[in-house]
Amino acid sequence: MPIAVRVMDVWKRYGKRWILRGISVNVSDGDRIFIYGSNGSGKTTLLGIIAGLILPSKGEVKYLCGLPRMCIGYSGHYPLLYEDLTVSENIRYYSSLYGVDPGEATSSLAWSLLFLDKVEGLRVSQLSYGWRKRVDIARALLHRPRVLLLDEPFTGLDEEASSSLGHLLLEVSRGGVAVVMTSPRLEGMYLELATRVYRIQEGVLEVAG
Amino acid sequence: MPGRAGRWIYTLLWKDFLLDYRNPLSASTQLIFSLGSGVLVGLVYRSSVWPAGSLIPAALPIVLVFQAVFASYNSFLREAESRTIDGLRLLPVGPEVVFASKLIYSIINIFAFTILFLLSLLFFAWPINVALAPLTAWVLLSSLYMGGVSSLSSAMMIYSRARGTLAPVLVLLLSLPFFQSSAVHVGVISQGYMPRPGWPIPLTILSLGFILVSLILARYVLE
Repeated sequence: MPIAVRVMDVWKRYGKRWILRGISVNVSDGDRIFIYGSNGSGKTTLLGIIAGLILPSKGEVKYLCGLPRMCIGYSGHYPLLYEDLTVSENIRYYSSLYGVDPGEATSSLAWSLLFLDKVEGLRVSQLSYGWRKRVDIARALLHRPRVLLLDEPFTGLDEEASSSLGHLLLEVSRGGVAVVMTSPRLEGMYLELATRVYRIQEGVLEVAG
Repeated sequence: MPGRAGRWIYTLLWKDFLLDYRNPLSASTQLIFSLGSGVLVGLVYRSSVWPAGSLIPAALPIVLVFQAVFASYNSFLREAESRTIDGLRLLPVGPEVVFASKLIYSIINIFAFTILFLLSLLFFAWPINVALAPLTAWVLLSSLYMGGVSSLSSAMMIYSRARGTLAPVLVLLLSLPFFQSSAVHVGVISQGYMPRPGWPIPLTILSLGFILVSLILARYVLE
């Protein structure tokens, strides 16, 4: 499979503490990569660097998939949604800025599998964390990225939503999208989905399976 | 490309004004501040021997600085508070377009609320002899400059933990060159006289120059 993103010897330091130490990994189309590690091990920082939100102290990330902002979809700890806008207004806003027809976004697989019809008229402030997470994942997918970065995607989701999200991630990766997921724990849902598993410990990435 | 940039800016502005409409606390506070400070200055003028030529040039810059501080809180700082700033940084439209939208939002915000202050002041201080057309032009030019100051300060403070106190100080410091250059004009206008012809030209150059520098800096601040 063609490589979409190449992470090359990335180091990151906050103050005197090294958070990431020489991380290298290739993300190829259709990959489902799961990275786990304890709190503070550097998972979120690594995703932030791949997304282009954080500059590495050393090393670089090469985007072979095209313009980083168009080929990367990112859903972090905090949903990037406006609380005082409704779900459909948030989707319309992001669709317009990504040059996507909002109708296309609301008729997407993500929209139907995550049951977002149920909440489209509600303000984000009225939603539970789990629903916000679902909407945010649909937002991250609306411009059809080639690499989807998800920070603890199953956190806060009920059983039905977890299963739907698992199904969605399988479907998008079959369509060629690479999915990179993180979690602090080695959980079954991730292991069922992942094609590659890594453990991150004290900033060092090790193959775990 | 300019057409697309225009559509992006429109979308970003639509979102900001809709957020203000849905959560009007900040706009209401600014409204009360503008009207209240107009009443205060107007009443002080009526009950004192001070001429408008000394009161308005002192009050207007202070009110403009306050409006710019309010606007900075509603700009990038609001995005930082609501943790949506990364959403802006990930957009494919580029930091200059994002900054331009915040700049336009700040200019409209500062101009509208400063005009409300002036209307309130003129109502409570009436009869007062000021040259209204040049005064409005001066407020517009000040709003252009202060919009740039407000947006740049807001963008620079998004990762600072002390943004609540640093942002107003930064706005104040960056606004000094403009008020130093324009104080003489507002003094003349406030006494009911017309300033010498061509007076807006250096202020326009200063305002547009600051906006241009802010737009260039936006890439480094937001990326």
